Formats: sequence, C-alpha cells, structure tokens
Amino acid sequence: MRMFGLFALIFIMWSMIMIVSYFLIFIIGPFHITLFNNSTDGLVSSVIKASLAIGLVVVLILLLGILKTRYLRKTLLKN
Amino acid sequence: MKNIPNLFTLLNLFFGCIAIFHYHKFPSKIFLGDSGTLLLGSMYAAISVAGNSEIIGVIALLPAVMNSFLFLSSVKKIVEHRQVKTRPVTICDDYRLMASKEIRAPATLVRLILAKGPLSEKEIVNRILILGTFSSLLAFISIVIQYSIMKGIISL
Repeated sequence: MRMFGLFALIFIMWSMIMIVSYFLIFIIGPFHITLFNNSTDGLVSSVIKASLAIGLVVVLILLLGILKTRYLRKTLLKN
Repeated sequence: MKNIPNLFTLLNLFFGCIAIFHYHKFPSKIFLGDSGTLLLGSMYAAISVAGNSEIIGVIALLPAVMNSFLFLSSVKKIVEHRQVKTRPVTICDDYRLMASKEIRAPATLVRLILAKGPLSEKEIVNRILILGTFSSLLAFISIVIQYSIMKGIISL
C-alpha cells in the first residue's frame, strides 16, 4: 500500500500521454483547412497543426506539474 | 526487413545492459557516471526514434522521465547536482535514507519513495525496480493498443 500513490501517479501520467497521443494522431493529424484553394492551404494547415500540437504538449507539461505539486503536498509535507 | 538493423542494435543494448546489471545491482561494484548513462540513454533514444516507437520508449522509462521532470520543475532551471544547496534526502543515524522536510529541497523520485518514512538503500532500489516493471507493463499495453488500432481490431 506504501507504493500505491506512486503507481497511481505513473498510471495517471501514462493515461495523459495516451490521451494527448490520441488527439495528436487521430484529431490533429488528419486536420485540413481550405482557405485559398491553392498550395498555401497546406502550409496554413501545417502551421495550425504544429501550433495545436505544441499547445497540447505545453498543456500536458502544465498538468503534470500541477499533479506533481498536489502529490507532493499530499504525501511529503503531510508525513 | 527494414527493422533488422534496429533489432541488432537493440540486442547489443540488451546484452550490454544485462552485463551492467550484473555488476551494478545492489550492492553496486561499478559506477557508470555520465559517460555510461549518456551512452545508454542516447542509444535507447536512437533505437526508439529509428524504430518509430518514441512514445512507447518514453512510457517504458516513465520513472526516469518522472525523476527528471520532478527535479526540473522544482528547481526550475538546469543545474549540476552539486549546485543544489538543499539535499532532497538525508541520512538517519541507522544509515537509512529519509526524505528532506525542507520545502525548497528539489523533488526527486527517491524523495517521493521516501515520503512515507525512511528506507534502506536496498529497499529503495527494489521499489525503483518495481516502478520500472510497472511502467514496462504499461508500455507493453500501449504496444498492444497500437497494434490493435493498426490492424483494425480496435476502431477509433
């Protein structure tokens, strides 16, 4: 039972990585936007996709940071 | 067939790791240092990238990733270990290790393991091995999920 918190932390991290990977591969990957009906559309889509992907990774890192702080407060500072 | 070179590189890494484990298991007779750990890490990363399995590689190494992430997010900059003033763990009178109660001390995996009380070095090593096995299991589950999606067994 002593290790339960760490197992839970690793499992939550894994779940978050899997969810972000799902979004990147299945939702952001096939995303295409048509604006000018020429070759510029590919570039625009690419820029939007890259921005969304970077944003998602930043959100993931922030969420992991919040998770870590909460876990630390709950276990380390309480004991 | 294109993954055959990766397989041979992986076998080199695998058998090299078995030899290192033989001498490095508790109580360790060798010390890898930066040259050993960086070589192992870069080889592992190169195989993951060449084998198109970067995410699986990260999941299998989650305890190590978590340790680096915890350290960086608590210190908030890249520093040498000797530059850190407050130690994350302290030694008790009976030579067991104990988590530091200092709020400013960096958060590390060992500090989290010791959060619920002091432990001996051997107990800490065993717990890290258990966490490594657990994350490897999660990586294996991820491979099964990936394979099922690729073969159309699971449709999303």
